[in-house]
Amino acid sequence: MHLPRILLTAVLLTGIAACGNTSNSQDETPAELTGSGPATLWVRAADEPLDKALVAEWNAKNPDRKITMLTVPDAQYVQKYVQAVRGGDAPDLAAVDIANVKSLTSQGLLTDITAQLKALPYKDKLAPAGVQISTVDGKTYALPHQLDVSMLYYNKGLFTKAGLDPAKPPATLDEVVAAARKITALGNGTYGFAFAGNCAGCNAYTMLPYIWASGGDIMNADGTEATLDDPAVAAVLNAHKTMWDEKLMPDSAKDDNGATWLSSFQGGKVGMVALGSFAVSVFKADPKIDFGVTPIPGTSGTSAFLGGDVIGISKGAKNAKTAWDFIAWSMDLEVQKTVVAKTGQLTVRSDAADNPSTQAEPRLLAANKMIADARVPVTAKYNSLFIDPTGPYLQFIRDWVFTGDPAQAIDKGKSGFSSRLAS
Amino acid sequence: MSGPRARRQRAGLLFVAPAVLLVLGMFVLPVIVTAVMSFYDWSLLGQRTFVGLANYDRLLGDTSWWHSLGFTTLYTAIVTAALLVVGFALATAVRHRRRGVGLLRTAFVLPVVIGFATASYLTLWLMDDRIGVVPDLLRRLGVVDGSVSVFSHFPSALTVVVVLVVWKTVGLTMLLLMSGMQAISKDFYEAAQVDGASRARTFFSITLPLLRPTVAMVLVLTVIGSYLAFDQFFILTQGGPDNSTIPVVYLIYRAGFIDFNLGYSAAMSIGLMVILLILTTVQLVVLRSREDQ
Repeated sequence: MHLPRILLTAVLLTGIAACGNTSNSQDETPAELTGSGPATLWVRAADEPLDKALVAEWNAKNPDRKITMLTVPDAQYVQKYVQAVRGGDAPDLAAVDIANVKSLTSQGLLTDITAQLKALPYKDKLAPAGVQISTVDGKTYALPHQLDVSMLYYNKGLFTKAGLDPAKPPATLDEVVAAARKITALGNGTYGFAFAGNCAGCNAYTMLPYIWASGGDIMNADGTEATLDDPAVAAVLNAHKTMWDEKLMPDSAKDDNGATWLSSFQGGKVGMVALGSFAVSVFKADPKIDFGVTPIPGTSGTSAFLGGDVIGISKGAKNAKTAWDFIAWSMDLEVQKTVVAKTGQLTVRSDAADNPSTQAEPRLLAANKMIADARVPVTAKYNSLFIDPTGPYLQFIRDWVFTGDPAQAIDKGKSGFSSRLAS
Repeated sequence: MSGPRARRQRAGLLFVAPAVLLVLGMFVLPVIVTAVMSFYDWSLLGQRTFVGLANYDRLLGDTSWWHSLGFTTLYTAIVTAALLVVGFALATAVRHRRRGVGLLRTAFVLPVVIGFATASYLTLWLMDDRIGVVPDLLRRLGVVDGSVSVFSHFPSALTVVVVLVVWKTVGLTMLLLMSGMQAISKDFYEAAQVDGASRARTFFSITLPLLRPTVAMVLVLTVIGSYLAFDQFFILTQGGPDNSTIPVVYLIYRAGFIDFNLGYSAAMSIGLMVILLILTTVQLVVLRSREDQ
């Protein structure tokens, strides 16, 4: 009768001892990454093209440890991945949305690659915000993989017509409003400014930088509380409200859920709009529009949101060595300058920013240089607060800019943010 | 305990066993699991801790829950009324065998087999300001000038959803009402004719009262279906404009799969289930007492 209990105790003790071993070895010298067989990689649908190109190149060079790629719908990525890791069926590599990497690191689902990162001679040249957001208590779990930054696009033709210098885009929020007035004054259905007023994600990506560039933030440092009465928030939303009230933006801005975010500017009747760097390759194909890009300005400087993916190795990956070799190879200077830059993507290394592709398209070079100062909002509730169309952030903006009631916006926003943060 | 009778009973049990298992596995068990979940702070990403009634406590004070419940009730009332009126009209139109009636019946029932998601996307594109047929038509007719964004205003957004739902589900209502009407003996109508009753009188004094059980069934089905609405709002309005069209199931989905809070999501599901049980019971009780009269 006692035998099972003894056995159980033995098993438990072994288990505890095993846990102790691994955690010790992680504290001092990280475990050597092992397993050099063929590996698997998960990417989210929106960012599939770059990884397709990378994997094809890798597989051609490494026929005996090929990588198999699986594309997962963006909205289901985190939950599918968590289930896969818990079910012991995780991919070796996970390329995950930068804004969601906290959901994975907070659950301890990724392998510590701090030592590998330290050994990289170019570690200081990797997109800082991408490394930072993937680092918890000094340990790094993922590295920048595919990047995009938000920036201000302006129509050079309209700038010239309005008597503004197209070589000197607005450098402060006040200059944005002043330029918008001049461009709108051209008449004939021309508007100085546009933004997607009914799109939560668009405004996370492009309005937060105005706030950061005004020296403030919409959430506290650890992302646990909203700071809606920050003067920087008020400065940015008031500027938008002014432009809405003075009809410096088209009526359709209020209803734009992102569907006409790009096309409104592409039509050539809008002076300025903040968009991701992804739009460069869309607009440059259109000969009708002559546009420039500049960092998103605030009341005291400029800023950008770092979007895209970071890549990490799953906890318990069977082919962790292959996985790391792929990550390191993908960050190689030549690979960045050729494979990555050729697909029209920004490079994850600042020393690869200047390459044949960006020389041919200086606006991408400008975007690439903005990565150094770009930021990512720090919150484990990013989707609930900022991406969900019924979330508190979009409602806050709409109440302030369109309803025109800042006091009510702050009031409702506070309860909205705290209710979703409590979830 | 043996003999042909007992054997028949055993055989009967065997025959119902698959159905019982199915109900147990697909309904009873999930409900129990959901109820258990609702007592936990249960993250989709892993950890869970027992919190007792905390989720229900939060539910009572959650303004978005009450708003959403109010909106869902309004939506249910409109959809139910519209379905009954249109369903009655269509059923009356196709109840007798006539030339071409088969074609009409098929046409009215056809949308029922389309999924709600498919129908919603279809509507989304029909209503799209840039490429949709409807805004283009309105502009050509001179009804509107400039852009048409039906989902930017609460009345037009709700109207589009209601029209879509009626179009998609009224075929079933029509079928139920029609078979109910056909089950009414012709003798009643002949007697009414002899008495010189008008068409309206015949409808209100014969058809409607004798259809009561069918109407009650349609009511129960429509009310349950409407309270569980999700796809059409998720795809068409996304809860907008300004969070005015969020049905309860949307909130349940949001708590579970955006906020990753399965515990709270489960508590809302149980809350909705209790409300539906009460509503259905009330409707059935009202039906039964009337039937006995």
